[in-house]
Amino acid sequence: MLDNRKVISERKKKIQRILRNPRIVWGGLVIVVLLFGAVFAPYLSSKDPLKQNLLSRLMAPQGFSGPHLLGTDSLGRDIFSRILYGARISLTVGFLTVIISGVIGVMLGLFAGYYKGKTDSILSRAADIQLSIPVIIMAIVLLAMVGPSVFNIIMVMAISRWMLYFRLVRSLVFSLMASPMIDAARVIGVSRRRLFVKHLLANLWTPIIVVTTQQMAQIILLEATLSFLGVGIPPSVPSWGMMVSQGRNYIETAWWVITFPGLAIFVATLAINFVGDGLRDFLDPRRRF
Amino acid sequence: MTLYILKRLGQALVAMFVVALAVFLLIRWAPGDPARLMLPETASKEEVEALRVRLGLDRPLPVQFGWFLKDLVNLDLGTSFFYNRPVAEIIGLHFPRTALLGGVSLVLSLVIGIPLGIIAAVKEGRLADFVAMGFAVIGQSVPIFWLGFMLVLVFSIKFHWFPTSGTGTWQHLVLPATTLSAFTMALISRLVRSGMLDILGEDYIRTARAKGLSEALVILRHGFRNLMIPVVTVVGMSVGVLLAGSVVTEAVFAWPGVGLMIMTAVSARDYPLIQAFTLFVAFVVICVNLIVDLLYVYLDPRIRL
Amino acid sequence: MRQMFKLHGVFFLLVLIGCLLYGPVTRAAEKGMADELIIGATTGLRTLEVHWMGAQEIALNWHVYEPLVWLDSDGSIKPLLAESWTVSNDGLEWLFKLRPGVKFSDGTDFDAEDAAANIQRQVDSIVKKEPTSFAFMYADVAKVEVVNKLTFKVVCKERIGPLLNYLSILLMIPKEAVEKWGPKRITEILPGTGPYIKKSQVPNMGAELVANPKYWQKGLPAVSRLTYREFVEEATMVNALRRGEVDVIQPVNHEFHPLLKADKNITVESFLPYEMIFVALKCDKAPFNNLKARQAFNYAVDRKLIVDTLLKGQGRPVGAFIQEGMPGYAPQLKAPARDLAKARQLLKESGYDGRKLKFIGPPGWYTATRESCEAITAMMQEAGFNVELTFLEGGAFTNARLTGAFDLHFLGSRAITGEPQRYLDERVVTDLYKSGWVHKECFDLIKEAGRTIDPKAKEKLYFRIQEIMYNEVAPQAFLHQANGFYAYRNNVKNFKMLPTFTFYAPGVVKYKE
Repeated sequence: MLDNRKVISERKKKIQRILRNPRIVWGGLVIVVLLFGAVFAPYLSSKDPLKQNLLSRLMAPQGFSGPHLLGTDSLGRDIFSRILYGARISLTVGFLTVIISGVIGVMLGLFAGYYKGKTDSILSRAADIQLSIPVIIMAIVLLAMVGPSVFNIIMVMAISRWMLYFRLVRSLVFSLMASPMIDAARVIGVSRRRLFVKHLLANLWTPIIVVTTQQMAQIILLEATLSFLGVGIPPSVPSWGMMVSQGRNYIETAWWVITFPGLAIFVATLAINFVGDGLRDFLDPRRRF
Repeated sequence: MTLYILKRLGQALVAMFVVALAVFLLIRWAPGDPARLMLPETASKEEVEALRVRLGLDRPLPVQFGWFLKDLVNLDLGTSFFYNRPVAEIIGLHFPRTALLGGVSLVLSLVIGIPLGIIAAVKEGRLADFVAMGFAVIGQSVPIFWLGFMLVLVFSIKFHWFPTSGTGTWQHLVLPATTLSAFTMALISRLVRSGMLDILGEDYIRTARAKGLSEALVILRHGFRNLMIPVVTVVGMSVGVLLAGSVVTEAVFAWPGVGLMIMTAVSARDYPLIQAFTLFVAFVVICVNLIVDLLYVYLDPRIRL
Repeated sequence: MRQMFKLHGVFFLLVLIGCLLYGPVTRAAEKGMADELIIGATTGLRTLEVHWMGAQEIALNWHVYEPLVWLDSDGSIKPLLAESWTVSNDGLEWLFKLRPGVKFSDGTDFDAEDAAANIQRQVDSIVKKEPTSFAFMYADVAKVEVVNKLTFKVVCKERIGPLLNYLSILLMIPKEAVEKWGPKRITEILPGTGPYIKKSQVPNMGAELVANPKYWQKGLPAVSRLTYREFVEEATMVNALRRGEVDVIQPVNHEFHPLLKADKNITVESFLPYEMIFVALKCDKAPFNNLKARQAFNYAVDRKLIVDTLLKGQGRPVGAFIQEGMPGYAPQLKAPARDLAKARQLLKESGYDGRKLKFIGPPGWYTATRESCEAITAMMQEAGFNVELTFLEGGAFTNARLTGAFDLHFLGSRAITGEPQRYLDERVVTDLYKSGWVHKECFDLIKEAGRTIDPKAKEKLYFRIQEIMYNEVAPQAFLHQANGFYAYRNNVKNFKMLPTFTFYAPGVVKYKE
């Protein structure tokens, strides 16, 4: 009975610590708001994000006094609506790409760092090869072959990004493997799986999280670049990156077209970074504050 | 050590072969025939076919690949379909400009990013930390072309400090280099800060402090090397990215580097140029990674290769 | 230690101040003639081969290599290197008399042998299966004969109606170059007869031209250096103009007009170009093989709204394809107004099965293009079409058009020869873009128009041709003709753009700001 109470109070302490961290709280709140906006978009805005109205194009934001809260874009589409619906696309694309490339990269990095030798050589050279083929070329060619679609773009971007995780994890695993802690664990006879999870991964969370959070913004922006270059998400789908790209000639004449989606990207990234930082503070076993 | 380097160079050759093959196949899969795109649209089927024969595109793929390799061995990078000039000349025209921009960006991101990260870590929780990390997060959250245009609007149009675009003087370099370095600078500063914080909490730091060494020496001597590992990784990766040329920065600042060159080449399906350039990038990336791996050993003597 | 910081600080401050001052100091200048004109453009210079160039490259290059005649803004042919010409009664022989005293920039004379060699090169390139860009225009030339030093004759197998227009874009190079290179693409800078000499051309950067002291028109060019700077982003080009880093920019999109007009140092001008925007329809496949479906498309698109909103009124909706200013312009064929009910009705009657239609758009550097495509897609969907818009990358887009892998595609067509025959031959009869439309009467009329030299007779034929295409809504539905814009700093005088998208710079004068 004593044990149960101890467990419960341990958990409570952990939760309290999480909630006391301002970065996690505020960052998390913003992310929740964004997700809420994305999921409940149809209820939050009555305007169809795809409906064009050429007669009311490039209207300035009207706030609550008019039908278009944040104004309209160059085809008369409501910007607020497009930001809400765009959240779905941008967040999904960012999240899935980062997950896929992260899983691939971390796994391969672990293998390379642990087994070294031939495995490392092959995997490292594979990373080099991937790195040498410029993303743009690969994206254009692949997307020309399979056609632009949200899924294809996620796959193309994921394939082009795993190397960062790979090299980071690999280099850190090298250091870790040389540390006395790992040697001790192996001497004791800890299973490989346990070694990987408990000893290696546990120490890798910090940089992985830092890199992951940064990658999300990059993915959203890379998607904008690809749209910019003509191989991005098809025009039938609103995405923040596409909105920013389409608004680039109106920076001085109709600032709202590019500013609001830009702000959305910025706010989302900021929030994700904050949460990442907060989680890092929390997960790091050596930190007590 | 020498054995290791030789082994790596051997692997590099294999890697480059794979890159050559991969790009060779990849670009031929894309729809669009180079001969068709080179000729005026009024050209007939026979004329297109005749050009294909002249360019050697009608031969089976293994034959074409064989020619490509043979030329490479003779250090001949081929003739560009689009420009009708030696590929080496075209790359030689564009590459130095990209190298300049990329090099300066990288140096900038190190020179500003590392100190920023250190300061933020040392003054953790205080204003300096927030300000520094604030800049870092902003640097990673804005679209490159937005940043570029903003810098131009402020520093070129409003205050006539720098030109809006083009190449020539060092002033032309400032805005594009700043734009291009923003993300890497932010990333490096955050990694440095994160690494420094880890180290500052380490036991051996406490011991060193207890021994009475001055704070600065403690930080520099004991912590620096270890935290450089992720930084060196990032730098290694950035070289590859910068080399391929940030197309967006080059477009925004009318900086005619390899980014724009490769865009045109892909649009025109300029096989020789695309293949040679990719191989060139591969070569540099592999060399850089070799240097990075050697640096790992230097930075952390515990690492055994 | 602190002393050192102070010293470094002061030094740093000095450097900073120096940089800040550099700007204002270099801008100080006195009034007077400036000797360099910098033109900014978004068209890339891809080649040194003058017979393989696109329209806008010709715009720069004819300052170095001149054609025999040129097309003025009113559509009339004016002499340039050819002083006068006559055509035989049967229309099969053209006699050209060249201007005396013209030299290439390397000192050699320009004479009839050079002119003949240039034309012969086009004919020969067809035979050698390496056609130049304009070779097909000379397909009906039997031979070119030199009569004397300043006269030569072009003998044709069939009458070539627009020969003079075709010659207006054939830039003259020395016969030695023709002999040396044959039909192979020339990769060196050749001497020309024009007011400028090309000093250098760098891919993705631009070109530098310097004045030709041996130019046959005395007193020209007024500005001794002409620099062409390439841009990829229009916004960058606009900013460069605002800062005075370039003197003239073209073309300029509507989005930037408010910015430029507000700048007191810049003038914005418009011109009416020979450019037609259209949507091509795949006429040999359902649904557009049915006239009703094509008509439905015609009534679904609100041309007027697009011009009024997306182009801010700077253009005109059209129904027929010959543009205002060109021979055969038929204003009596009015642009159809939008009629959504009618469009829906016609579409239903056509038996359209709701299959998803593939609408492809060109790669997206230009926002106006993207906006138009998206607007049209929405309008079509309102009329009941199930259509999906995709923007393809450059090579893929060309490929898709040339192989007919589309149901609709969006494009513009520029008549750089200032006459409609080329378009009709290419896009209708030869059916480059695989629309699959066949109409015997129309095709026969087109062929006949190509053989007609008399302008009045030609006009009658063009009216009839356009009428057929208008009623059939095939092979393209024509949308609008948009105004072209260019902008220049106020200290530049006499810069003018012609409807063929060319500009003429030798007479341009530039004062220091």
